[in-house]
Amino acid sequence: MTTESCGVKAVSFWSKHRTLILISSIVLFLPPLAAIIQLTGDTNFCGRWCPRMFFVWREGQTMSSFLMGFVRAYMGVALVAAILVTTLAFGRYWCSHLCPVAAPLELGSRLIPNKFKLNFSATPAPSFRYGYLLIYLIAPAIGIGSLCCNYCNFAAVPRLFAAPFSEGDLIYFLRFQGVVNFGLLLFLGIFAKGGRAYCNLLCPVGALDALSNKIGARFGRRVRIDHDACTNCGDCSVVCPTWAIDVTDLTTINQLSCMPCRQCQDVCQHGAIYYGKPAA
Amino acid sequence: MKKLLVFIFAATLSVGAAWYRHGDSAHAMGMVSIKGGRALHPVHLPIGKERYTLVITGTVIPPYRGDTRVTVDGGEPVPFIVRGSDPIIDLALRHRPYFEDGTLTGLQPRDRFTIWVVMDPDEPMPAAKRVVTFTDTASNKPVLKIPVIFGGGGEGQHHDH
Repeated sequence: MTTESCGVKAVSFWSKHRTLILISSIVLFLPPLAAIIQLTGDTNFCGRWCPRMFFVWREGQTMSSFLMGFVRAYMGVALVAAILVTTLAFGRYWCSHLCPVAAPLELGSRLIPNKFKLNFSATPAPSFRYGYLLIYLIAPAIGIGSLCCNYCNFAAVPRLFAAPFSEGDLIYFLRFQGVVNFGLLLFLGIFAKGGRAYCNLLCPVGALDALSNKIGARFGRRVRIDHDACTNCGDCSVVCPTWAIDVTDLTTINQLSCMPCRQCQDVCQHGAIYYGKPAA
Repeated sequence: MKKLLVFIFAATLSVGAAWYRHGDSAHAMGMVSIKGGRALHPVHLPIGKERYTLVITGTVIPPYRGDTRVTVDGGEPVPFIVRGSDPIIDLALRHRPYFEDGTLTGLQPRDRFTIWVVMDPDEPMPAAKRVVTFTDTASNKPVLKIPVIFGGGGEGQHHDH
């Protein structure tokens, strides 16, 4: 637990510097600099860095072409593997601190007055998310169509940053799918309370990461509630950007939605929220 | 019960989103090679629109290297522009081809590239066929041809990257 005996809350490094880390991630992964992406000769997450498509089976695809997708997107494969493995042990730090696609949405939403924001917290996020993920996986396999590239946050956000400088990236938005993607980023991101509705509902990488989070919760470090200290005041649920905290009866954290942003921990006046392993 | 309904709603909405194609854009893939290249599939687009966007991603098959000019050919000329997707601030960490003045410059074996071709027909596009041609500037020979079919079935077809 991070509440010291003198009553002064000790704020962890990851909590204290989260905004700075998110901004650093934007600078390192997104245009105009995109330094990490340029290490492989790329300019965005499409191609080698694509984290969304390699695990999708398409109608008529052969096993060899499916496996070639892993080779083609080797950086995306490595990224997703690293995300899932680290999440098992430590929770969804990629989503909360490092994701350059989510960072601008959350930071952008902080600039919008609350009265203009949409509140999606009445939506049971895991139900929506896995309904979406199911079709994300099935639709291309049976030939209905695809949700992969057409509605891609990893394609749209980098191009949003590049569009003011590059006509090629601006063109992405000057078509129907581009307008739809732009609208999704606005309404589920910047104009959503907490800025994380896109992450929470429509990100397939986030959906897989949430499963890893849930599985690893049995042994890994997570944001948890000390029910002896909790007064069920609900302050934590108000600030939770992924509406993962339920205070209906006993305050609980849904590990299918929680990411360790630890905003709940920061606002808890009773030291009832901590980041750690499950109690023995 | 609410969770089940939301799950069904999300799945239904997603099916609709996966199925629906507005048809003003499509993705084409191809391989540039000294033997004329190969498009993985033709692009099908619906007729009647006044602007079409193609994103073309490609790979360079060894031993080809050189510069290729990108044009839209066949039938009545269609006004078009081609744009690349180059780094905004180039850190020059790795070799990569550049798009400049309608030409993919500095292609080397195994390079990958992305370009955007925007066609702005003066009038709504009738049923027709066009070809996006990649021509080697040194030999003036085509190194990749991607057929673009307007109308004739498969409208709005989109293939993922």
